[in-house]
Amino acid sequence: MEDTVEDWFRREILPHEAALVRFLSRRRASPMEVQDIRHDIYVRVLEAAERQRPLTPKAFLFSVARHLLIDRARRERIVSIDLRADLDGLNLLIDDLSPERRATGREQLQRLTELFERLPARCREVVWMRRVEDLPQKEIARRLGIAEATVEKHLVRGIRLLADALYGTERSKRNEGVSPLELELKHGE
Amino acid sequence: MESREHLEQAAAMWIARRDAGPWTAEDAAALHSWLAESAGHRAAYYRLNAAWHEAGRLNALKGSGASIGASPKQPTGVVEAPDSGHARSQPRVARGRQAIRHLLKSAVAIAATLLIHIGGAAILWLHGAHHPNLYITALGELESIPMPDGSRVTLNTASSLRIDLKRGMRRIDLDHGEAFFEVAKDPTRPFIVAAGDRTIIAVGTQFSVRRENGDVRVVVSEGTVRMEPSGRESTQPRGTANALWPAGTVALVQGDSVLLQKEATAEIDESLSWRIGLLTFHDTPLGSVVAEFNRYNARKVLIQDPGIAVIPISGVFRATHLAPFIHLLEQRFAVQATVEDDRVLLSASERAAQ
Repeated sequence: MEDTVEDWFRREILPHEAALVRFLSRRRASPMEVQDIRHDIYVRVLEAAERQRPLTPKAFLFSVARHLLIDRARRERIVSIDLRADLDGLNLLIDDLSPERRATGREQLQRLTELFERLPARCREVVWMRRVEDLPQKEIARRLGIAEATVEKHLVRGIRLLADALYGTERSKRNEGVSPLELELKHGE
Repeated sequence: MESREHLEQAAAMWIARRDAGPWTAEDAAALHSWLAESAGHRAAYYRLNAAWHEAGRLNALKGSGASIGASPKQPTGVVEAPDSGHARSQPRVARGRQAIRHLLKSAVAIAATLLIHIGGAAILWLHGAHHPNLYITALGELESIPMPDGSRVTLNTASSLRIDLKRGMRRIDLDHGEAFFEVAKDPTRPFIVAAGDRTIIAVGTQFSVRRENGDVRVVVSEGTVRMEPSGRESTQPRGTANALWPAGTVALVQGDSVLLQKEATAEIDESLSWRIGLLTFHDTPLGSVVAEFNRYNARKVLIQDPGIAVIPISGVFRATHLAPFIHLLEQRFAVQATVEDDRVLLSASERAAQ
């Protein structure tokens, strides 16, 4: 049993998601497309890491991102010199070498609190009761007066929103504090 | 080619299902199958699982500071602050802004408060109410905290304490967990560590305190410490209450009883090896070893065959690296490990020990 790829991914790749999404957002207008590309990047990073762990994960992540964007641009036949220059001219070296500041326990607590605040009300209740108060689903259903299936539905939604809030973007001015996933879910409903 | 949306929804449903329980071996196998199908499945799952795991940390951090009591259905909730005298008689909090103002008025100088709105009621975490220097570590974390007086506190896994330096006193409140203290000499200010209903007073020293489930364990590595019941009144006869503990003392306090042991410097250093992220064992029963590892790792190790719990284990291990330890068990002892997503199960193996 090695330090698993999942552990590695969580430790070395996910903390850079916000920076990655910013990077992608500067080059793509649609938040949904940004998320799609993000996912594709993760898939490629994972496939590579499962064969062999990259020595500099952050640099690798952005390298994959750049290549993927170029690929897509080629396919879409939008090859503007600006775009190419932009991608090549990126100087990530300084960033790559500087270690991320380790958040103190208190900062983590702060961040986690903010995380919960960003969930929609009902969703937040369910996630809180399940994850923090450790109540069984049945009990949550009883307390909130909803069906267990609904509790699970809120949980599923909460799991996705948590990831978005934790790893993803800061609030985008355009959407006034609504995460891309929220938008997506709203459109879907 | 499955859409990302579809994948994330599926991954979230797996996590929710696993979380809801019951989770059988077949379920675990099904999840593994699904994960094995494509890197796309894995990417979606790892990301969501990580955030879900992170959210669970709030549970670990919850032990310090306030307790939360607010049920969304009931309009009233009770919030208790830590040890601030005012907050002891905390009034019941009704829903709404007025209630919060009321609470804020009665709690003194809240330095770091976090407000989470759950079900219409605001749940107030009275962290650091006039104890602004709160330090918390997450599971598996180690933090070294230099103090302005020259002392240093090393905070172990999943622990929480508050530092309060005043003119006449240096006080640490250990809410839960374990910390090691290197106390700078200052004759004008005693250095005290309050761990629930016991207070440890340092007399120019290095020592650790661990507080868990109402028990307190003190290891003195240098100098001398003294322990007293917290608060003014002492129900203990003076002799036992204020006995001095020299270097080499390991004291285990459970309820009213205090068990004292004397250990050599080398052994003391070993039991404090966590300060450099190492766990040291000398013929320690596997059951205890496993319990110790579980303090540092989210992936819990569980013993399925009680018979193996007595196997004596010796060695030095990185606290947050289960793999070498599990490997050793499988290689050198009659133990078989089944590694699952979020836990490792140990059972007796048919192979004889080597």
